[in-house]
Amino acid sequence: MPKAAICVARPLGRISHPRGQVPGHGRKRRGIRPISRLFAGIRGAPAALAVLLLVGGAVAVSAQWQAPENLAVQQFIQATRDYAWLHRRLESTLAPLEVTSDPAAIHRAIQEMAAAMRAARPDAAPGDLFTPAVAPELRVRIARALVLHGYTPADVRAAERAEGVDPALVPLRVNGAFPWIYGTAMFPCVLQALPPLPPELQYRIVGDTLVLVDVHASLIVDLLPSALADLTDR
Amino acid sequence: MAASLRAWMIVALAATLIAPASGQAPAAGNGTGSPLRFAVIGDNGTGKAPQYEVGRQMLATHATHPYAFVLMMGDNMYGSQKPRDFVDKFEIPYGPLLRMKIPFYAALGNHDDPDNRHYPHFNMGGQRYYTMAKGPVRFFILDTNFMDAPQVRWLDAALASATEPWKIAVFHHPIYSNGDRHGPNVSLRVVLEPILIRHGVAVGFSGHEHVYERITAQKGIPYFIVGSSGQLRRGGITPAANTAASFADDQAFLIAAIDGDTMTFRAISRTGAVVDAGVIRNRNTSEQ
Repeated sequence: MPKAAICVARPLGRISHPRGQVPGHGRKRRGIRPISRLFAGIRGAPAALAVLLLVGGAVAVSAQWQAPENLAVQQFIQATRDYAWLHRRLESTLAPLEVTSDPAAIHRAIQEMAAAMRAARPDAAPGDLFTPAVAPELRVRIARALVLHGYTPADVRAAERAEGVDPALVPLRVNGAFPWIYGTAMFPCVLQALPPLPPELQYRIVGDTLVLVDVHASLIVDLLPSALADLTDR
Repeated sequence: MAASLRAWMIVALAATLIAPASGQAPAAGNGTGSPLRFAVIGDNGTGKAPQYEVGRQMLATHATHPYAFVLMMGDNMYGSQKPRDFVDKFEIPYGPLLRMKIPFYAALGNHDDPDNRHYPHFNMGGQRYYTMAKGPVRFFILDTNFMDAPQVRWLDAALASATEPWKIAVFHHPIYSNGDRHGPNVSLRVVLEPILIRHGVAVGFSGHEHVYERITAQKGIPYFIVGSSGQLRRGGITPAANTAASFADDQAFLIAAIDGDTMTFRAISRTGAVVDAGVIRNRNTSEQ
């Protein structure tokens, strides 16, 4: 199955978008041909074979993408639920974060929530939720989602560069504050491929790292390095 | 020459439709017969002089075109978002409007801390995506930083149950754009556009690209990018066939008035120049 994905990685990665722009959050990429033109110079049987290979590969990727969650993914989902349960339990012991005209009160409530989570998970470390068992699966899902929608890891990196923030300048660490200055947003196609999360948690990609963020505490929960793998490199 | 003349005629027509009667400020509109007027700003929260100047221009515009509320397209605050920043990057530049009890309704941009949804002047009710009705219009304000399945399902259901004749979508990342920096968010378009079309959304408003651009109707829906109310990428757009109008020479904001099945609009620069104007018909009501 992964072989099929590898087969389609490059051709699908060359799908063009309006006015030669890189889709999603990416910058423009000039001179890329629309997919219909990829076959413009091919005639007869070779063209039909190429189309069949592409379609077959895409179907295979799609089938794999929609496969039932494997055990590692199920355990990851359960771990995020456990985290959310802990979050809610601690939150219930703090003053409620309400809509208030005092931004300082909002800031204070978030800090208190983050402090409570840090105190409850003092030894939190990379890999606690993104375990070695689930990490490869997540990397493959991200790579496949990008390929399936005509993106490459370079497109994701380009989207980051467009925000003008160098990930190397702001370090990421588990139990540290998530710097919203990064201006990151998730590609919807990647989001669709990753396991669902409880409302307290969101994914972000910073550099090549997948970050699990507690958005109610602006807290980094876990880090998955090298999340932007290129299927063709595997 | 002909194009220029046509542009001026559109501006004149829109000015006639949107302008109040001489010497009398009209009502801002509450859905009881008078037009519903609102302003749109995006990518505004810099705390720097141009944002303040746009704020002053919005106040001056309100004196002649009293809008009822302001939509914020996201990136409501850049950089630090500590309590003092809420003052410097929001409460001072729009202070006169806030004191006039004009509400602001915010969408989250990619530079916004999601916890800002608790800030009451953003009127998000603690939600990262929400809907609100104003007279004949229902607005759907989305969080396109994290367009997850629950949000998609919510949008589909909320649009399906809306009974207002106008449905307007507000989200930070534009799904059509000819801006040079980011371009269109095609990944988001794949998810969002079928839902917007299916439920008869009349207009889409976005920001993110630090220019002003109006996109011709795409599958029936015209889109506005109002992303230069604070930030500006001067000259940062390459108009294409689907560009109805664009402006990237200065900061800008937009005012709109909905009356019956038409929405008149004008984009206004930091210095008060009208840089785009026109009329949009609600494809739902006008088809009936």
